[in-house]
Amino acid sequence: MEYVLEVSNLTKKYKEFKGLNNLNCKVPKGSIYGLIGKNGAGKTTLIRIICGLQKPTNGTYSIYGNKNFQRRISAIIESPSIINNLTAIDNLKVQSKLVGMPSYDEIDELLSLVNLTNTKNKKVYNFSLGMRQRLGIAMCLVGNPDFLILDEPINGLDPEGIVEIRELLLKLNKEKNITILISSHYLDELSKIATYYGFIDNGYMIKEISKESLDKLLQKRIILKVKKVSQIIPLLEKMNISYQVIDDENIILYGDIDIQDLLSYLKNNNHKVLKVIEKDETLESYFMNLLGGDSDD
Amino acid sequence: MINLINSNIERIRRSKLKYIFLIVIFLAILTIIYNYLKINSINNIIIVEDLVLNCGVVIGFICAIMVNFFIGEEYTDGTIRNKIILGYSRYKIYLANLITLISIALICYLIYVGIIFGLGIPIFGNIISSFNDVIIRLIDLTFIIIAYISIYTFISQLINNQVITISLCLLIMILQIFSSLLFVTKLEDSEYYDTYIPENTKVIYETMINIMPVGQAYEIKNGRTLPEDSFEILWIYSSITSSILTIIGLIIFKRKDIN
Repeated sequence: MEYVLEVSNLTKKYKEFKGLNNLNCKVPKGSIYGLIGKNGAGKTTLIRIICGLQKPTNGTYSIYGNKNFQRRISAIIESPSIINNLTAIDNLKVQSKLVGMPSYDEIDELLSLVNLTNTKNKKVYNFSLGMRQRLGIAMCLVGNPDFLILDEPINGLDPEGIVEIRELLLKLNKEKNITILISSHYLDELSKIATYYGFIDNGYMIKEISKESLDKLLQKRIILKVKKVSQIIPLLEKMNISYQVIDDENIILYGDIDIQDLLSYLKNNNHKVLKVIEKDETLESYFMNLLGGDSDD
Repeated sequence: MINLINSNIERIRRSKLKYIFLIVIFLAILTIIYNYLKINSINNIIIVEDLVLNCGVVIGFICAIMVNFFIGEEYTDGTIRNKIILGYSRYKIYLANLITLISIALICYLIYVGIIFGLGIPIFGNIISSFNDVIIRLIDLTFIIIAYISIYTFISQLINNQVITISLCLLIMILQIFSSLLFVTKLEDSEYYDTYIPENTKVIYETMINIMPVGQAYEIKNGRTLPEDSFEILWIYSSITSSILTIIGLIIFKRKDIN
């Protein structure tokens, strides 16, 4: 698998406080990587370091294997870098010069992509927060970068603004194959777009996991304790129930299962169930369990 | 670095900073009008080259405001952050800003000089000092402007807070004014009132005047305090000040965490 970003044992110390603590992470190419952590976890510190705004105390990181990545990455960190006294289109023209674009041809297309065509001649200080965020994304897209880093891009947006940003990011990822690293507290929102997750706490990456693996973990499931797991497997397969064997006595069953029906069926086939535990996790509860060290994956 | 300078120019072209050229034209014309009225009211003689050479201190304040406006906005708008993210080196960002600001300042200076001499000579008569003397002092003033820009870029580029930087820049101007006046007064007293100042001390005072752009501006306006000193060396002091501050600024900016 190709990785756009590889971080190895990254540490950032501020006097006695460690903003990052031997953090490791990898962002696969073409993914939407959701960086999740509570306030002060180290998300913004990580993003600032990989964007070159701060130097790490220890550790390394590489973007595109440290090949010349100028113009290949772009970022919005906390708020977009836009010039308030200029209009939207003027901001894009200044950015075009900065990136070294030979002409302003792509500007109209970018404005259309972020739905700002009708307001392109409006000064940015008159923009709403959602419009500023969309313009910030348009600025990031000047020069066709293929790695976009967004730090809390939906903070302060209304529901409509959040939907707009979400749909825009999905479109960029699908149509332009842009790799996106997005940090957020809004777990529900992230769960709608992320294909990979990185859970960070106290400057340390607790877990990285793909969406597929996480979906499996978050699936509603039942943990059964029986006398001998091997004896009930044929019955489970007859019922088309997905399962995962933990050990000789414990088995996890996945899917929307009627427990009463299942217990009756097993009883009728002379299998005694010693214990039943139902689990129904959300991303939020999974994250809280991770922080508390209670994750059962 | 060409892209950085181009984007700076593009930004200036579209922002309020572009009006600085109009302000300079306005000030130049106002200076002509004011001095024309002075002739007519009190039958004064106006020395046209003095209308340029006396402006060294005022230029310093204008440069402070201009640099702080430009670089301060870069921090406020996140433009510096944007440039770093795009992969430009800290050296290039610093130097591009320095070159842009020096270019604007020198263009304004040329506009001002052009208007003053273009309108002033027909109205007030030809220059009185020797041509070489005027040229050398104009060149010294050019390097003073570069020194001003270097000092203020050094401060503004390294300190994020616009309020602190403008306060610091103005404080530096005021300190230079007071220090220059102090050193010049002491040197003048030693020339005219036989107040004894050891030679070493005279050299120190003169060197301090030469190092400070405001000190140089004062000497360009009023003539060299010590008759044995010439104007030819002043541009060297400005060059050294600009170079040292720029090198130190580059080193510190490279290591600075940008938030």
